[in-house]
Amino acid sequence: MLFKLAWRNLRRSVRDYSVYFVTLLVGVALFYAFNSVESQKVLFDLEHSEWFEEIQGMMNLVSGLVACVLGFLVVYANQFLIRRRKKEFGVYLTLGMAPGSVSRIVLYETMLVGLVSLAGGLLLGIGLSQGLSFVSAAIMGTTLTYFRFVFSPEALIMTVICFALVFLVVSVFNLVSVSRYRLVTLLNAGSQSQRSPVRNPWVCLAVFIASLAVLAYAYQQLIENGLLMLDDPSFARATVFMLLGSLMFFWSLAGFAVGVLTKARGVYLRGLVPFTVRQIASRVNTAFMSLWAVCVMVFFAFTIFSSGMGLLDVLVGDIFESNPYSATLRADVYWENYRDLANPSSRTPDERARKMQETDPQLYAAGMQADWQIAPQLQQAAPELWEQTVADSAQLDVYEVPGLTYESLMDALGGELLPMEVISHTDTNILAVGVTQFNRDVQMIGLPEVSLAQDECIFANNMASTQAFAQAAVDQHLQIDVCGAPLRFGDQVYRMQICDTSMPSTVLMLVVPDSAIDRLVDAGAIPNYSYLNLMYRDNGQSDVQNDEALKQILGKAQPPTPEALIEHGLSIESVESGEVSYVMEMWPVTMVVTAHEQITQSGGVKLMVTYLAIYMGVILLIATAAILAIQSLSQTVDSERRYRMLGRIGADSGMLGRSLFAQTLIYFLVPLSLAACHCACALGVLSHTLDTTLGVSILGAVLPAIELLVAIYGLYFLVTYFANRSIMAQALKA
Amino acid sequence: MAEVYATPILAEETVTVRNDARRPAPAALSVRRVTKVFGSKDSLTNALAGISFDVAEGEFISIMGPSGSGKTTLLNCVSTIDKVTTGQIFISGEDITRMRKSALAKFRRDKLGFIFQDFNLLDTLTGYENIALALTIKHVNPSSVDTRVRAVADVLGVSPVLGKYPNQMSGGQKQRIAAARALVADPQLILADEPTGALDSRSATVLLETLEMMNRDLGATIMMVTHDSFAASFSSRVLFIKDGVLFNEVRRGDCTRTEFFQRIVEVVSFLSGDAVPEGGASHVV
Ligand SMILES: Nc1ncnc2c1ncn2[C@@H]1O[C@H](COP(=O)(O)OP(=O)(O)O)[C@@H](O)[C@H]1O
Ligand SMILES: [Mg+2]
Repeated sequence: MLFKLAWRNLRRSVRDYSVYFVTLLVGVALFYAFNSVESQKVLFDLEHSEWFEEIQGMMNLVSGLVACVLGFLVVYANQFLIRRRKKEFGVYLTLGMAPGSVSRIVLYETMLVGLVSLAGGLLLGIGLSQGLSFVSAAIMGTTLTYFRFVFSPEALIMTVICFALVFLVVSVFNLVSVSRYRLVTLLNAGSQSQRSPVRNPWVCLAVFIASLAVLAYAYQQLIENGLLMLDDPSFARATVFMLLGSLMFFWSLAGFAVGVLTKARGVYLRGLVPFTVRQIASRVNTAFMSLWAVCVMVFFAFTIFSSGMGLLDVLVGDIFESNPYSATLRADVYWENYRDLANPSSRTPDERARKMQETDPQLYAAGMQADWQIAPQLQQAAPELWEQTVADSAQLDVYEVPGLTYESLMDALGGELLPMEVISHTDTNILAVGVTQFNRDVQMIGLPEVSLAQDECIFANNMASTQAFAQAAVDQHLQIDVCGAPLRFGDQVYRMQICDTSMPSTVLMLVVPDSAIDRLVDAGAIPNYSYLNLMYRDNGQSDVQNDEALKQILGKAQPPTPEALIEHGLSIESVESGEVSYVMEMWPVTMVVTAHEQITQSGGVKLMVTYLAIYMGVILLIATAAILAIQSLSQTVDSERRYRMLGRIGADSGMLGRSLFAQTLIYFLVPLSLAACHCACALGVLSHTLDTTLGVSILGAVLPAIELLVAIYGLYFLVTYFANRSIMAQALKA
Repeated sequence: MAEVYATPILAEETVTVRNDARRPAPAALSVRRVTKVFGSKDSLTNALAGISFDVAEGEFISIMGPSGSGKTTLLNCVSTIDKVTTGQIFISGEDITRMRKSALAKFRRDKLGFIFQDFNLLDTLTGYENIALALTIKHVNPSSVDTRVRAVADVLGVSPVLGKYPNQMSGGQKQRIAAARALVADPQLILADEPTGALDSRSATVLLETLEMMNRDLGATIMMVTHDSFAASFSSRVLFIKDGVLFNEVRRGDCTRTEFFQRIVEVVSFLSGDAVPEGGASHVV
């Protein structure tokens, strides 16, 4: 009987439940979908699934937080429902129903809604996670070769447990609040009207103007100082002023707006405008703290989301451009010490060769004999495998040009063209490769060859932040001196990627005529390091298999012998477990990077950051939108008498509906508008800062963020508006 | 005394108001054999059981009757808030029982003014805005709204509280604001349901004098429901209803208000079977 009553109640107050229901539904769906990310790995045939595991770990962590937020929202939305139905409970009690039965009805209702939304949410979530796998594929840079239904029982169990806990809390909460009600307060519930603070209009005016001033100051601080230096006191000051200014803004907004509007009689004294304005004003005055919190949360969500996505593009955006070769082997020739690697600063061409002859004469001799060529060493070690795997290879020997430092070029070009973030030591020597090797390399990846006159050189560069410097050298026809021979910069900066790595990282690489390299070699120079770029053969094997073959070749060339293992501090187990298949030496091979590894890895990073950003962003937006929605609904419930009265004196339902529409819309827009101003300022500054230092535009990430915001707020706005209308319609009937 | 017990002359002939050559102007309000039945199949309440009467333009009538006699139901039907079960109600010649819901709202704001027992002012609006609302919902030109609100407030003596919110006003002030709201849009008919019910006797007197003045000086047609004989004595005619039918009526004619009050009290005590009339004895005039 009670169960039937509960079911009838539910069906009758579907609109009241709509916000609660939507929040639960979306919450459950997101919760399931993001917790089931790991199950997607079956779709990608990923042997290396550590990324998915790592993502899953992060998701679990964030999900804890998300569960708390959703729990709070559900309790909050539920509180509204109880308040809305106080009077109904009062009627049950007067009709002689036992308080325990009333509590049971409430319990059944909570359970019913819970079950329905849990089931619905899970269905939605399963659909969503299928959709996410396409997103994953796009982010990973692969396509789904076949569609498979993925279902994660772990995520299901986790979702059910989490929400069962939330409903338990809600049920306890409901039982306590229903049993606490006195009959009188329940029956009179409909007649009490809330009082909202009325503020002195002059004080409001003053505070409002002050808030604008404070915000202007915060904006100006931001614009002057930029956003990147988080530890900068002026940044902290800007943040504090922004928070304070926003709070003052919401505190005084309604008073100010009413003050202005009531003076503008032509606008104000029309239709239900006075009523609408006062309704909004009273709501804003009572809830200015919530509006402030919503504004701040939307601002942070938005800024973090778009700058995160923007930075992500810097980190992994050009992953295909950054990995044009199947694999890059790098050979370091000689290290004086670790620092030396990053900072070649020999004063004479033969400085390194001399030191190497002292410390490692064997390797020096072997290298010199092989002319530092890497490929023949590998080919010899495993001729058949090499033949099967490698179609083509090109070696780039990178030499430093003694005495030609970044600093000296910068002085010659005049001005601070090099960002310090990129070149940390300006007194290091510039690096150069010979044009023949360079052409061989670019030809292999299908780029046009370069022809250089005997006295000409160019920069190869593809890092955005050093582009201006390279271009300046071209524009000013800069003249340099390599080993006594003068070279002039030709009229182009060559855009190419010199080795496989995670981002565009050809930084001011000098391409010089072979004669210039010959002069260096004649003067006793050895390469600083060499790249051997490989292209795999189209042999029907997968990238993973070819990578494995390459490792086997290396295992032959640089076998993990017991002596080598001891020298490098490696254990026998690491060889047995397959973790180590070759030993890194100085020359011929120090390091291997394969395109497939890079792409999977960066895809993983991108996947993780994107999912976290979307997950947190959506939850934050839902939380704020739900809070606004429930506050709006509460006000409509509290205003039932007002609508009834307006109806009596002849306001028709069209007028009232329009007023309600305006009230709901403006209430949603107030915090969003201020947040939009903050975002515009912050993103403007941020995009400028990132643009100048990293050459990245974050504006591309702003659009999806806006779409997300519009979708979520739009959904909540519509649901709220229709729920409001039905509350009003009921009030008018009564 | 004979008049008191006389059956009121009812306009029993079927009135097709517009064609009636004997009446140059239609009555402000004509109620024709109105019945109103509440309830479901099991328990029916005949709140109104075929009631008919007319209110002429410029009249101030009171409806009296014991509690449960159908006064509020009658007022609600006249004010188009409730629907009659059978019968017709004409306001300035228009049959409101045939109007559609949307037309009714327009009719209410254009033709009727309301004063309620519990004031029914909007607590978030100032006195000024509460009065102005009756005009703005009629889409009156904003510039004339101000003039009309101030003029009516002046007449009703509420100018000093125009800037205040209802919860900053006394009950009497609130009810006069409500009266101003009812009056400002120049309605055909002002309907008041127990307007003094929530007021102390001093404020009640001020309000009643205001209503009397609105009727006498401004020509407002007022229909007031009350169970208070003192309140009723301010009107020009009193209709008594009992069990949903018209039981009696008393006209003030040329007598003083005190005399009129005495006659009302007599009818009231007759109606309630010599018991102390509801609220009637509480006022000594
Ligand atoms: N909404 C309603 N539903 C059922 N019965 C009602 C309703 N309103 C009034 N009644 C009944 O109609 C009769 C007249 O009520 P009412 O007009 O309120 O009387 P009065 O205002 O004279 O005290 C009463 O018997 C009352 O119980
Ligand atoms: Mg009544």
